[in-house]
Amino acid sequence: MGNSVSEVQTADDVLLELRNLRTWYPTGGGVLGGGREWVKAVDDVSFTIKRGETLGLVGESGCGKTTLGRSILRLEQPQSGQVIFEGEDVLKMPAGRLKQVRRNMQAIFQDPHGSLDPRMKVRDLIAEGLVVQGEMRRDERDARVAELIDVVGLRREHLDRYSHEFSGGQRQRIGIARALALRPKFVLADEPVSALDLSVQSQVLNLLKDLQSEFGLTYLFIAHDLSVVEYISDRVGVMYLGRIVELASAEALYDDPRMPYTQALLSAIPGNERASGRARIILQGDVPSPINPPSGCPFRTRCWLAQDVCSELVPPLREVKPDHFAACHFADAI
Amino acid sequence: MRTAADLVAAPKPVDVIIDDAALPPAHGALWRALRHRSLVAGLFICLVLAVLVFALPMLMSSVDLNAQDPMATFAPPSAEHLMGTDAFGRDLLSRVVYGGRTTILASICIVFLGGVFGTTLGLIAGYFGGITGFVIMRLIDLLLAFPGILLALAVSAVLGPGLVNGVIAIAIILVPVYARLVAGATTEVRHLPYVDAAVTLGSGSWRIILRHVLPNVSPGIIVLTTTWLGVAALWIAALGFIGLGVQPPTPEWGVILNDGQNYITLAWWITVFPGIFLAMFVIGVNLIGDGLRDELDPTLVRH
Repeated sequence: MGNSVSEVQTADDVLLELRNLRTWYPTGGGVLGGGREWVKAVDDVSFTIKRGETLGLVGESGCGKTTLGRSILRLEQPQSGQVIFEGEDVLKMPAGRLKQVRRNMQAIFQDPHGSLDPRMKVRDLIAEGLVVQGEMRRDERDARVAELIDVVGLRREHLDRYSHEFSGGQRQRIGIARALALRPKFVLADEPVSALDLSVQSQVLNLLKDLQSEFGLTYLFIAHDLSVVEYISDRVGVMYLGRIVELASAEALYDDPRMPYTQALLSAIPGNERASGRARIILQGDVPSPINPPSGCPFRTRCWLAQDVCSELVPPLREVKPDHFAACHFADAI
Repeated sequence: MRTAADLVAAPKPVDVIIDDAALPPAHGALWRALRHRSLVAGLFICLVLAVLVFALPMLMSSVDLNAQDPMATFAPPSAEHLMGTDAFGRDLLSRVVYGGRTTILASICIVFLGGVFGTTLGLIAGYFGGITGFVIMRLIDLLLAFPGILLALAVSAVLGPGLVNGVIAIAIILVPVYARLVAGATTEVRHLPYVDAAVTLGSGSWRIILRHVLPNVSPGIIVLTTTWLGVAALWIAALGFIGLGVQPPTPEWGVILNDGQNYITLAWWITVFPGIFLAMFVIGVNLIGDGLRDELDPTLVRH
């Protein structure tokens, strides 16, 4: 791949790096494109994920976290920016190379009902990636599928059943087995437990943790449940209106949030003992429209610390403390 | 009320026990379907018709369909001629039975042709969308703008009379009907997460269309096919009736009906018997269609 156009230099321990990723959707306008506006679902996002770590991504619904995940997998076509996976820009890859690289980038989807084809047996669902990538003989494939069904805690008798016969948690296990069939390095987990019952949530989370150590996986874990993210993540990013507004180790972020929005989110966790010393922060107003985001800091319209400078300058995501990034003009003062 | 500490305490995945008793039996689909009344009634009617039309002629191999008997014109139903005879003294029973073959086989060819082309266009338009989809769908709209039977008349008038041309003409009307339905269903399926999952695994568009989209839009296609099988039979008979379809003396239900219309006050049996058969066929396939619609609808609760 020495002469590949899409090759980009990154640090050795970095598996995935996003640089200035923008995914905007056109909206409105006629067939000929007149009067078109853009929904800035993902706006200038940059971060890195190291090999073997779990980066959690939290934010309210509609903040762009799912679009961000889909852009990484090229299920959406970003407007600009780079998604560098193992030194290659995924967004510039030709179809053939992209198909090869997909072996290493898999996904677990939010909806355990919609993410499994109702017309396929569990065996074929799990084996699909192996068939598509065409790297195995039939008996090898059968062996891999049988091994996977054990790994995710289902039984081999279940291989010949259809997905509608299973509960949500069991379906999510099937989805996990499918994602792992190709032995990927990176797994995008897009709200993998938010559709599940609480007891099942923790089972699936623990399964994901076990699989991570067993297969050396790297996760981008998207969720809106802060306690779930804290439990599974090494580092956590907070998204607001398409931007990353704070990024730090899970511990630092939960103990010492430096962005008002993060503070508000954390104070909203019911029974959060660390937040109990502080007053509950009730945010005023709604999330502004991503079509016309506020000038300057996207959060300023709901922020109790907002000053004139907030409407004039976009606060950059800057390193407030070592490895603790926050996008707020007053991050040092908070 | 939940913190990370609670999650740590949760049981490990190995503890999960799957209760097989809670899972429904895997092979009850056929049995369940047979409890559906209109489906069974439709299947029964079609089976009787199939036996009459396709098996009975084997017992009548010596019958000459076009044998005329000037001494026995307009003979009412009797032991010798169960359905009577027509204006030329031809045995109506054998003509209705043989005519049924033509009508039924022609309508099957019509829905097959229309279905294959319409489904393909619908899959392409629905899956790829964009300019391709836009152009296909506008062409489909153009075809749909004509009343169906009028278009069939125009096409078969251009192609000239005859069975094959009639089949082609009616199949053309069915293309937009299928394409519309399939394109809509495909657009819906295309945005489901399992299609995203297939893309993520590296599947190409055509593989996704054939392995994921087509199987999931097929219930609609099956139901549409049974509905239009009856309509196609009516239309091929209508073309025969006005002289643009099958040409006399070849028997076909529409042609026989046409023969009989002039004598309906004199010899009711010439019109009534093929009419009954045609109605039976249309009712039969429609009942099957109704039954399949219920059975194949995944949104209905299965017991």
